[in-house]
Amino acid sequence: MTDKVPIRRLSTGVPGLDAVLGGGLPEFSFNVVAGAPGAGKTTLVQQIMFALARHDRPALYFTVLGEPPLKMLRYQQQFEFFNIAEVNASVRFVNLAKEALEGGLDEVLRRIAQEVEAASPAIVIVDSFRSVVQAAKRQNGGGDLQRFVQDLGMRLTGWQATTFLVGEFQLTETEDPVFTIADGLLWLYQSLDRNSMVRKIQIMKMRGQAPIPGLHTFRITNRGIQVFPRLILDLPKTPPVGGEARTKRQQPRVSVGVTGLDEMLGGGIPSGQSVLVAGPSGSGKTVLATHFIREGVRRGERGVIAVFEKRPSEYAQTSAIGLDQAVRDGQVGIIHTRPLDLSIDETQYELTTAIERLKARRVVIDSLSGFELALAPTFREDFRESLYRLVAALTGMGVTVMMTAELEDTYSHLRFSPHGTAFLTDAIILQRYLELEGQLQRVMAVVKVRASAHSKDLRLFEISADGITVGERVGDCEGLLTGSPHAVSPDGQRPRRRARSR
Amino acid sequence: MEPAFWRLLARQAGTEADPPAVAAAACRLLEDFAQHLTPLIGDAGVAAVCGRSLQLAEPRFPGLALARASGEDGEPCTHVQHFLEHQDPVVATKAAVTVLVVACEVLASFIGETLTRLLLHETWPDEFDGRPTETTT
Repeated sequence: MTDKVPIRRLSTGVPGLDAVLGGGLPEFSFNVVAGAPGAGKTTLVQQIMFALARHDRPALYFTVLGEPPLKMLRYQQQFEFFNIAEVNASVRFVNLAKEALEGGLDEVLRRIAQEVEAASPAIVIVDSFRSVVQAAKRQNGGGDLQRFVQDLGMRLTGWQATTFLVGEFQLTETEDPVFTIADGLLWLYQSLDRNSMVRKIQIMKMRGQAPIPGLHTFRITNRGIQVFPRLILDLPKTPPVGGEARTKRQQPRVSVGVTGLDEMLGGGIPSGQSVLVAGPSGSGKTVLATHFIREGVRRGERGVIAVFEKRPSEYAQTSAIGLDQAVRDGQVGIIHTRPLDLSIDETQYELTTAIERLKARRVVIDSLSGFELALAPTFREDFRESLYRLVAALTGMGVTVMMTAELEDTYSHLRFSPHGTAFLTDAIILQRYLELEGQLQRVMAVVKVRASAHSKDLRLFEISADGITVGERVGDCEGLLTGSPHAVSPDGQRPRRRARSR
Repeated sequence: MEPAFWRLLARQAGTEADPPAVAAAACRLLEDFAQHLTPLIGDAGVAAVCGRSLQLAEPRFPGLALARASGEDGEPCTHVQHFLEHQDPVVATKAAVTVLVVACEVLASFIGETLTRLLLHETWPDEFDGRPTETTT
């Protein structure tokens, strides 16, 4: 027998929230759910209530002042979690407006006590507690508020109820006694940035456990609230002394599915690593990504593609070598997330869910440019940091990730990503256009493969109905990437032909 | 719904009841329903539903206007009863059933038919089936 009391953690029924809370909601905790009007407080607590209420241990939902219950019932029942059959069965609503207006805090407390003792509920919600506070202030200046909150908290804990007080509190009001007494404090925000609205939740306090710190985005749909936990990366495990290099050498390679390119990469992409394919519009990035996924299917490795610039059906059909059959067979999942108001965490959730569902080994993000555009403006500011977390999370799952990035063809300087994200990836494949002997040609080069030897050649490649065919090395020319190429003889002295980049 | 209220009224007041008996029975039914509604939607919610119901029934029974006007002092039932007591027995019964049916329709327009039927079933389990209706999503 342990000498420490175990705290049972309740599953809230809100996807993602249990993880953010640090493993669920502590049983018998006394919680405050705060936020501005429209932040989603009532929806959150009702979703939790319907998930936890049982016939033998029902939920009591006290409505006080504020949103008229008639309207609250009207709107909340639009959510899938609102089970009408449970009203007055496992879920009971009790209106306390009369007590709050006429009897004050003592009368409110008396009625809550009466109802709670009669029902022995597992869950108690007071919505809105803020209106109780205001009613108290109107009556006696709020002098008894601290005693009331203390009394309520003690009684509800004594009755073995997990409690939520819902209120439209401001961040400046955190000296309110209710915040001191509460075991848990969940703060909901909605922020507007340009034309985009983003919802976030923060667990400011949760006694007895460690919630994931910071702000986590959430979305409200007809299914209710879904939280997308902000990923905190685990520290890498220390490799055994002298073992890292051996691990790298022994790392299996993943074939890209393009003859010649695997050789250029030193045998393929190191499994479980990330590769960036950068190049100008139309250079063949998506085709290469399709090769990568199709090759995985051929080898029995399922794939997931996150598409940001086309609809999934268009993507599967229009890519040069087609993936529609593999998509129909469930070998490949295509994610097309809601554009323009995404958070990275939401995208990560979609990706990891699809990876786990399909047991996928390969992931494509096509493209980073489209991904950045699809994010709500507020998340674009820290795109690089968020992408770092995303890539680390995906490769941490053991999948090999290929990302594409559109690159403006410029010859004044050499760069591999418009986002400054090249350092995040383990390998980089660069595609460019060149003008050679009066023809526009595509060339490809492997810029880096972390901790691995790779080809340094610039290789010509072509795209046909069968996909990419890698050709010969561009020989006898120098300065191709500078915009001022010139031909050189095999001995490096005498020009044999002139080459010029576009 | 209407036949159920006819039966309830007849059971409460008797089949050959005089207007005062019909009026008293109608008020008891209204109060029984309000008792089940109040915890859910509060006194203000019950008063709002009641007031709107009287307004909608008023074109068919103009005398209900007084009852509605009295709603502000929280005693509409007394005035409904007073109105019904002074009607022909048939008219009184018809008016009482109309007010009850319209009240349920108003309530359903806010909280939905399923929840309304559930509350009616809790109030009068023998007359109303409380099973949720089939919904498609």
